[in-house]
Amino acid sequence: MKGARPSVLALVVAGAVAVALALGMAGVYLTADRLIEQRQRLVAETARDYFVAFAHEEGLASMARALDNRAHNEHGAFDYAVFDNDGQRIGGTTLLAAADLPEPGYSIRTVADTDYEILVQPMSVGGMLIIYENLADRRAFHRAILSSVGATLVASLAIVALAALWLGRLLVRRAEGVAVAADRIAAGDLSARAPIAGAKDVFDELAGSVNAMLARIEELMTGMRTVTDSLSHDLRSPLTRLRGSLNRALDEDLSGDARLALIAEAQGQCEQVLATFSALLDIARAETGLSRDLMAPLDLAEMVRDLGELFEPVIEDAGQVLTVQAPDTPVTLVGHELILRQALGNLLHNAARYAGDGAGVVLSLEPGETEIRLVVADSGPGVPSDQRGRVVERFVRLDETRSKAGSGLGLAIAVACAKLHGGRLDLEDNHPGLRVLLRLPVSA
Amino acid sequence: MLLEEVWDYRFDPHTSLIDTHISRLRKKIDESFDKPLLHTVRGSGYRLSVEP
Repeated sequence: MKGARPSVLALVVAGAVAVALALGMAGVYLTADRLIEQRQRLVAETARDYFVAFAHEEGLASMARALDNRAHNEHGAFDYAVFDNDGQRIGGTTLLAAADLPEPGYSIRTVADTDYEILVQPMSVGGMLIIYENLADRRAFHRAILSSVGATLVASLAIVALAALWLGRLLVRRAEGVAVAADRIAAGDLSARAPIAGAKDVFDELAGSVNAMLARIEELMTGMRTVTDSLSHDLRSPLTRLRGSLNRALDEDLSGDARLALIAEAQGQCEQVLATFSALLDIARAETGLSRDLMAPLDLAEMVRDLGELFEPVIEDAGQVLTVQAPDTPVTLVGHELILRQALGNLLHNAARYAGDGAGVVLSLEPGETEIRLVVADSGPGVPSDQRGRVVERFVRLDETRSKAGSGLGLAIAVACAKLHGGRLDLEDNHPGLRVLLRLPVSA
Repeated sequence: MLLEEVWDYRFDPHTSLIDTHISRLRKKIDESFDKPLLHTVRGSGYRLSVEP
């Protein structure tokens, strides 16, 4: 965009308008010219017809006298002369001698430095009627039209050029905001956004779309960065431990049982690595929307009851009590069953793991007009409000020591699940405890 | 593995959902009997049989 010249656009617009204007003005000029010629000829021919009739009725001599009278009284663009059969001028102006007369009909001659259009008309009573039209008037009119047409053209062109320049500047200025944002992004500043002028025009729309795209890109980039950072951290330790277990298992002095125990340990660490990978893949699939083709209508009430049954032993073993609340009637939603089960399972696992001995855990399904809520609430210690935004990030675990097993991906999967369904995951205070809401909008 | 193959779930493996269910089952089937019927097959799953 830098170096884009507004004048190019302005020139193109001005050029197009100039051509259109010039064509229009040429049309006006030619039409006016033709009209004035027709008009003058009509005057000449009316006079001719009058004098020819006059000569026919009153004779050539009377007509010659009438011509002299008219020449005496009138000082217009027209002059008249009459010649008899012998070539003798018998009345009217003395501009041309009989010998110099042109052929009958219209012709143009210069007499004494003045241009005339001459109409020569032979008459039925004999002789010739000559009508001279001084072309100076016509040419003055001609020039007047030409100059006014020219002035209009110049003024219009100036206005068009200014308007085009202004428009060009406006376009460049509005587009430049988007370009500058793109340049800053290219330079590595992912937070750059295109300005929105609030004019609600096509540029604002463009800036809005670009910004939405940039926000998504930034989100993906940040997610990617977090994943690569965390992967190197979270996969390195189990892999290192795995290598350690295998190294120790290779010790020749080891008894068979001890070796088996070490290999089993290694297997467990392998499982952990694999599970972390699977979870990351699930998140990636959900976030990129790749799983969208697997969405199908499903009964959430049945799914919730099923999950409750599956998880009851886990909750009980943690010394907690699980309560399932779901309507008896089916609650249908077009969704991704696998990832929904996984998200809710993760929430239940979290409750079992962190809510503590004696806590109550409630899994409930709350259908509503606009959204369906899947809620997992516990009466454990909860999550401090300033940490709630952080725990949903990938690999974040609040126990800094990481003494309890876990990949730190559970809530991230639940968030990705919510996003895949166009909803969101909210963490609330359960007074006491944590209340996690998976809010899914009801699609039309 | 069972979870993934049978239910197609991929939960965190650390609280083993299957183990919990199996241990309950084992309590009902094998507790207070001399001969266990429910055997763990390492790496693949579980087996119900008289043979150890």
